[in-house]
Amino acid sequence: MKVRANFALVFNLDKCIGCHTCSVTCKNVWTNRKGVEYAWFNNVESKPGIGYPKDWEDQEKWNGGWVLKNGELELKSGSRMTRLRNIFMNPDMPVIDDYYEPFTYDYAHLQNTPLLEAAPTARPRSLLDDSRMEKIAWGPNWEDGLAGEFEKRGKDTNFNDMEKQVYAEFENSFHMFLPRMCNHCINPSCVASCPSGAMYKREEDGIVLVDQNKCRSWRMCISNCPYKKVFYNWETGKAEKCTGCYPRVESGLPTVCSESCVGRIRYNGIMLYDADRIAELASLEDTQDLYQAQLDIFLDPNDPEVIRQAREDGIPDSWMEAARKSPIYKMAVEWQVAFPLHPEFRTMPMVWYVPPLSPVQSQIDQGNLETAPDGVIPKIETLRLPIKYLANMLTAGKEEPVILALKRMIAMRSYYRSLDVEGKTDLAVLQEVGLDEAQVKEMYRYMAIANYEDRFVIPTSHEELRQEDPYAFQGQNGFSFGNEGCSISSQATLFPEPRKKVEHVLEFNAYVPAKSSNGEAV
Amino acid sequence: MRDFGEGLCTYRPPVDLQATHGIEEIIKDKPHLVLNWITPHSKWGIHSTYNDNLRMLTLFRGGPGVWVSEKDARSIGLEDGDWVEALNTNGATMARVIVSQRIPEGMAMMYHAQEKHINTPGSNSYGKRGGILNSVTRVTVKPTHMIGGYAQLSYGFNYYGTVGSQRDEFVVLHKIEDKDIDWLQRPLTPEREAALNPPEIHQAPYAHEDE
Repeated sequence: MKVRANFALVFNLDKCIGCHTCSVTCKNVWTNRKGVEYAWFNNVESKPGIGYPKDWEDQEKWNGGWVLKNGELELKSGSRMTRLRNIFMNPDMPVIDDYYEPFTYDYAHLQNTPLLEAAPTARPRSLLDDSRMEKIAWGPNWEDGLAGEFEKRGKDTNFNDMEKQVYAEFENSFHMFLPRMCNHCINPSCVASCPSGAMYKREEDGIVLVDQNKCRSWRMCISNCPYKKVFYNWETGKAEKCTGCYPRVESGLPTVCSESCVGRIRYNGIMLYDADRIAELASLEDTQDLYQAQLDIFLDPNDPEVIRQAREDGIPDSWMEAARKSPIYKMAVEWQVAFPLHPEFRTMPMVWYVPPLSPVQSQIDQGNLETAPDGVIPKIETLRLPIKYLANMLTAGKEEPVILALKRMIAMRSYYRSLDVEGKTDLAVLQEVGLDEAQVKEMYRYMAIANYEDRFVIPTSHEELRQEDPYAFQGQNGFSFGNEGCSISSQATLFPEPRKKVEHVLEFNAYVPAKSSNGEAV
Repeated sequence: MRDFGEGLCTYRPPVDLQATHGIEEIIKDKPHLVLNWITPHSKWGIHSTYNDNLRMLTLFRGGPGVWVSEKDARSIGLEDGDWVEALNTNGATMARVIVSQRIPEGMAMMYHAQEKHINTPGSNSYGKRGGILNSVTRVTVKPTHMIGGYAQLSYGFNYYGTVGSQRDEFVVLHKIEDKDIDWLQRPLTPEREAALNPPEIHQAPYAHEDE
């Protein structure tokens, strides 16, 4: 057993309203720069839809993630030799139109133009080459709110093995939001594909980063990430990605997207896992076993054996304490209401999702839907979102875990309804889904009330354990936009690097106390 | 209000404001739709909250849009993203069509807070900058709203008054080919001004009788 800690998130989709505050705050902080105008480290998709970039989930098209070859894990893009052969012409590389052509408007035209035959209007202009754009063709959220023909949005691979045409009808339409960011995977295919060794997964918290000094812009990470969450900065010629807001996380603060989420759907915490079992558990034959495999790789932070080994592996006690309080552990492992996004990519993603309930209140009121005996809470079979669709997204198509999670969320509502409306608690609904009263009360506290302290349990980093030479970073900003505020960083990198090793100056030109022959100061 | 049978909420069939009469003659040779015009609050704001900055426009379609059902769109050969003109006797608005399964047949929807100073071409029918959602609506007097004198039900200009029938508006919607889009960027010369505002429209009606 080798214990490692990983920074992890849960998004409670049941509460996501698709406001894009996460995307906007992330954009403002991280990619509001030349070269990454098109890049959204965090974006929110409308489902069903093909997403951003187009068809990112379709690995038959993009060849991202891992596959099994003769029982061994191999990148889906092929062997090392295959990638080397294609290194100058990567066949799986997305182009700008797969994302969208970023644009601005001729705002100055509104003030500068001479008198026209009609009030002026600011037409769009490309942010890439300043050329006129006659028609904006695509954007990072083009399909918002089921916009676009079903025929186009229906290419969504989560419809696999489904009779999807029935969902094209107005009466049967369904809709959900899917906020996405880098999953900071346990088994990241972007890191494995990098020919320059520029990508790495931080040992202490598992955040996946690109070393801006080592990146040689081969862009293998971009095509090999199945979530398409590594981006190419065309200005600096380097890959960039979600940093997990590590300057904030190191200080115990939630990521910007989590902090700003108005629906309070985002949870940040620590998960412990067994690094010795990655290869074994990521290479199970049946993709439907991969959700359970990831549950199996997580370690119980209350287990004395795990605690002992964690101490041996250098995990600070404050991190163990945070792991025990982790909201991620509760939702993913204890209540099993959260799931990884596309476990079949075999990367073991660490952003997990609570699937949304979808009751149709007007139909319940009219008595058209089957409900529980209370006549109010709908039965799971009557939900509008097809279970198969959610399962294809979250458990490689295995429906039972998703059904249990939704039933538990319904049971929580039933229990609280009986408590608040009837005045007596209905424990039968809980027994049916294998929850006890204490658990459901805790679920309610975390998922319905969702206090700040419960959502974000982030231990501060222990720089002193990590830095070989902390003095080498003295006087530098943690992060800059390549400006002069940071003595070392340049246009090419946003991050500080250690200064040249400083020799100890004490040895010359300084007062050295005289010593006696036995070495003691006199 | 009781005299009008509106002591309580009540169903009133749509009022035919005849806003689409006459218009169809102009474009009757082309495929077109006559749709009920709905103008709800926008998704990321209420009323005219500024959600038309670059960031928010990037997060949808970068300009004005009219939502139409898939069946209606198919019936006149509209594809998602085409330019359309929605017009009636009140005016016209230019937008890109958003084809969606969530819109029922017979309805066109345009959110609040559209911005005609951004990415809005000229209206081919009226020769003016293609307007906003309210370019095709008009305020119609509803007697019960003029009563006043009771608590909040007091008439005040631009505060409480003659509303209530915009939702009965209908528009004619037809496709504009990309090549026919006119951005109205020509300078305003005296000739052009004269062509846009022919003198006869400023003259009294009897002027025509002399001809």
